[in-house]
Amino acid sequence: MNISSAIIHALPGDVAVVQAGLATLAGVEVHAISPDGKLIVTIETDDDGSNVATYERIGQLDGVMSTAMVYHQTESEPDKEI
Amino acid sequence: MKLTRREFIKTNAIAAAATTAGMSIPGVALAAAPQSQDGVRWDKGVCRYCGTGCGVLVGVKDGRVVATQGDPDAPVNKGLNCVKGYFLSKIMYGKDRLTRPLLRMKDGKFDKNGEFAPISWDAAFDIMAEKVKATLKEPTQGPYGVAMFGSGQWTVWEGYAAAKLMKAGFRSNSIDPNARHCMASAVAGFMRTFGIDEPMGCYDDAEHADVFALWGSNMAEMHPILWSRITNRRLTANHVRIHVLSTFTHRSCELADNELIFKPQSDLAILNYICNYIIQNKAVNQDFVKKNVGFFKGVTDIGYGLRPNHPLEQVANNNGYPGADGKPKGDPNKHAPITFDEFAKFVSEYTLDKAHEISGVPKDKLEALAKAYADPKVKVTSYWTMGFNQHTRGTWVNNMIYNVHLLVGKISEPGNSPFSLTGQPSACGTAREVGTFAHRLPADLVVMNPKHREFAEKAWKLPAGTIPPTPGYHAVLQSRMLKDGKIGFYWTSTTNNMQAGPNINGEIYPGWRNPKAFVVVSDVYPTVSAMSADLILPCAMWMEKEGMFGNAERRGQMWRQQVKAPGESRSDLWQYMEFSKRFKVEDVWPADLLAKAPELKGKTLYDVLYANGQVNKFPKEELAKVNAHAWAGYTNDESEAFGFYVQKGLFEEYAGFGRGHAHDLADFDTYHKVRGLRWPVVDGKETLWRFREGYDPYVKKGEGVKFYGYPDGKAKIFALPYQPAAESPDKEFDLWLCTGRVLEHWHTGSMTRRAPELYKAFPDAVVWMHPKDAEKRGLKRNDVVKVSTRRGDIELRVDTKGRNKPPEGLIFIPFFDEHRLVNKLTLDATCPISKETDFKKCAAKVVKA
Amino acid sequence: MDNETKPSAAARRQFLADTARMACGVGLLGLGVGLYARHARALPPAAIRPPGALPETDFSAACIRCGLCVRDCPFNILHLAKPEEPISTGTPYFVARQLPCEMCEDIPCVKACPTGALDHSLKDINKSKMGLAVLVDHETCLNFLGLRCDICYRVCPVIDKAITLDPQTNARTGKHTLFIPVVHSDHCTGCGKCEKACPTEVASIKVLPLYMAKGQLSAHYRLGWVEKEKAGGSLVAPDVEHQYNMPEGMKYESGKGLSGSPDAVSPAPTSPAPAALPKAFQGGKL
Repeated sequence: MNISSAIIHALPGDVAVVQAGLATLAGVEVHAISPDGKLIVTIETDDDGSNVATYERIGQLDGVMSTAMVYHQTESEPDKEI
Repeated sequence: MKLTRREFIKTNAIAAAATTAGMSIPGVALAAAPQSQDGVRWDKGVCRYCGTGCGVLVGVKDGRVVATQGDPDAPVNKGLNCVKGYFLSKIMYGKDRLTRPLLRMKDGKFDKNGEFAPISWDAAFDIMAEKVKATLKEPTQGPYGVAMFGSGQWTVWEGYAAAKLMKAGFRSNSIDPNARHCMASAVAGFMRTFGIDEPMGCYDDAEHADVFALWGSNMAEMHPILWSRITNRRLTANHVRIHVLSTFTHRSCELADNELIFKPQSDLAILNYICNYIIQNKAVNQDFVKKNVGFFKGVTDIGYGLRPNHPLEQVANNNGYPGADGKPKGDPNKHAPITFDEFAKFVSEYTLDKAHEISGVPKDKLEALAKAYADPKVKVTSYWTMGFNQHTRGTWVNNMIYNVHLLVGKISEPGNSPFSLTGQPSACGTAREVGTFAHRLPADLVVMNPKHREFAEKAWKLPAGTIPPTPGYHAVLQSRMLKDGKIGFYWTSTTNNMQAGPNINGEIYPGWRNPKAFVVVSDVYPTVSAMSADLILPCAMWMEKEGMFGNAERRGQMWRQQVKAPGESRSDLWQYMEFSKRFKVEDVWPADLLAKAPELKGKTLYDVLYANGQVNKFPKEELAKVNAHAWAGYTNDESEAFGFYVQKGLFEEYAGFGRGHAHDLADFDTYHKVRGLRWPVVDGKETLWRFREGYDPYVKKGEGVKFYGYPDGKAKIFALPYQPAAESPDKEFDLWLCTGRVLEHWHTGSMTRRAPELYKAFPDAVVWMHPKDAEKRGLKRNDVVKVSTRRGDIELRVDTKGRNKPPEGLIFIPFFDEHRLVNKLTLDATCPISKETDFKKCAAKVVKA
Repeated sequence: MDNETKPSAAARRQFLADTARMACGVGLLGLGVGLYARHARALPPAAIRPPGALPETDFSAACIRCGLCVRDCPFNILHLAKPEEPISTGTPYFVARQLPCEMCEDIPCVKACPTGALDHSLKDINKSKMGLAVLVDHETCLNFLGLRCDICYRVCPVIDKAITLDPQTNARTGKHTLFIPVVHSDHCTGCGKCEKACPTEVASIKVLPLYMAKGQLSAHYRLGWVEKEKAGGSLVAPDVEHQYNMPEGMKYESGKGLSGSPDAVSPAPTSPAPAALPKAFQGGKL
């Protein structure tokens, strides 16, 4: 299990479009949106390959200017309680 | 629902991204706060346990409190903690933390005899609202049948929001804190003697007193940090002397120069003897007494706070209960003025011989104590806790210790201090100052006084007549009313009355399980109380919410929310406010009241009580602004949920009650920037000693001392006699049973028993008894015995050695152990004035199990 | 120089003899060997390893029982364990109460070690951790009783760092001070001079192996005043300035309390004489 977070910068006018686009991607969740068009998202994928693929697809969404991964962690037992 | 690694990592991931983007996300702590090298973010806080109010620094890493330390800059404790404080970081992380609402159900529906099953908050509030509405309509129950039981562990705003919801919302004064079991007698004592609540001195008295007298207080175990200050004073000033009065030898006696072990209840006689000694030896401070004191004689046949059909109540003519004609039989609080000479004559019968005879204390010890109070050159600080307060004459005995201090004028100055200690972190701050008692309103106002009600209604922007004029059901009465079917909806929080309340077998358990009652317990762990409820609501605790506590020296201290509560747990504050949305004003108020304020029609209780333009005055942006000095981008869960700075709004509305009325609190923002302030805070200045010119801004120049709680500026000295306890040992039940605490555990142990190290340190309650008493019964140390009273029995091991050494004829059992519920044995007799239970005296027998 | 070689040569011969005896012992004892080996692993508390010794299990594994450290010890304090002793036979140790380590600056024993069982990176003898001095018996320590002994403090090669004297009120006399010796583990080398010099019949201060002598605070609690010092100031934002209602001439400072007249010149009045001393002050405790 890969868990990462990223800041996606969208054109302020396109935030809704980007949000809709993100909603179509599996494992992607939007947690916050700033007025200037920054979105905080988390991306959960099963392996590294699909992780990279997800990032690529985010980059290709309409309205996305840039994507910056901030945090990344792999976890072998994601459902174990801490 | 518990936190999985996935959720945990995600929270971290979001926080990291948010920090990088410079954004604020609800509930996710931004990492801009000061961080030490190990990645731990430190912020100031207050210990969760007793009333001492030790400052702690709380260390958070990855959304979890990982460490604590005594705050080296906190004036109360200067970096020290007791062993309970040492394990503070573990109290929120017991394995059995409650995280979802649980309702007793059968076949998918509520059933009083069903099994607990998880439900949503929505469903929980649905059934609660249904039960409240049904209770209001039920003629045998009505508004006062909607009752709430909280504690001195509520934060200030939680207590305030609860009191408002009950007294103004549901129009029920049946709200009481468990502080009723703890210091109601201290309150009644203050109100009767001074007309204003709370100690005049502060902890700094410890560094100025020449003599300390402990009356029914084992500070060595119960207030360990304060005790170390007193020890230090004793060690560093050779002239200092310590007198310890108790019904059994305990740890504080180690340091006693004069240990007085007296027979239960005889403290009344000792106090009268001391007054007599002072008068006989011409040690009365005549100037002080003439100027500052009035003398009164109280009524005496006041009963014992038992049920009206009890033989002791039937013969009491001043217990205030309905008599044969339906009218109240007198008033236990009644008192009439007398002269000094009459008072002197009254106490003159309490000679040394008589005091010795009643108390069993050697005469030289009694005399040494009396001399200390009488000597004008000696500064005396008296401390007391439950030995005085949990007493069927608790109000009297509080009045009587003030008698002593007032006669010699040893009061309201550094080192001369009668000082009532408290057992809960906010017994003073919340239960008392906010006024969450069945008869109180904030800042010493009471519901019985029409002017006080008017003041409160105006402050709350509510129509006249909203607050009902009669006191509601107090703690013990709540248990009785539950049993009698008069309470239909009962909501408790931050307390564990099924373990801590008296006479569980006879009153509390049958009350809670009465089919006519729906019992809701808000709690963090499956306590005895939670497991006896119909609905359990999972709570946020301590550092999972923003809070304020007020300690025993009038010091208010605030902290920020440090971590999120687990699963679906929510703070009590959220619960009260969110629940209030379930009621339209017309659901709960009579038409004639609503007619006085037609603009409120159609509004919810939430709109009327909390979104009233005052409580919701401070926008969410204030959170970051107010706390910027500590933590960039700070926010808290309640403010995110309701959209404004909830805590600030509630605090400021509440503080309006006390400002200008000798209860002045500083502004909200300041508290977040200091390690607490002692009220009254006037012009930014704290007050350390009250009622004395120079120290207290409410005493004008030239007035010297002024007890301004009463209009004539005078305190009251009361002539009150010695009277026996409600139940004394006899042939069958031949021992006094006293209950209390041990250092390792706090109250019912719901937190401390979940710190494995503390559990290990003192796993099970024992009964301490004198070796001779054990021998007489053929018992050896560590034998399992059955302790029984007229109300029930429990089995536990006997201890004849160790920290507590009862005299022959008395046993002591602590109440922290949920597997050995000593309150099955205790009697629900109370002080008829304060309504506080006497947990220290009933008759028991012990046999080998 | 003669002094230096002679006993060491003797020690080496002793070692060889021990080894031979042990070999025989192994042959004879057969089944008992397992028991013997287990026994040998635990080092008795009085036996202190030379400076730079690795942790006990590593040390036992790395030490080849060559006896070179014993030979090179200029003060002849090191012994090689004999088979009847409950220590791995042939390994070096000393007993502080007999002869403590003299803490040679050039650390010849470490230099002599051919395997690194004595850690060659130890260059400063003051950094060695042979053990830790512990004031084991408060009831017999003369300073705890109020007497002025201070011998352990004064013989300490790292005086004022490894052992300090903490003045406390002597509540029994009310007039005097107890100078309580306090050992600081970050400076104590475990040389054993204090144990050797302790004047009581049986030493009241003893050097114990570190694992026995040292407690450990739990990670969930920090000492506020230590953390504050480490950080060079408060870990959280300092309070805004406090102000207090005070009569003229009086001053109150957070932490210091009340000062100024009239209270500051509080005379020590004569309190009523106590019937007896508090229990806490009775007996030999204080």
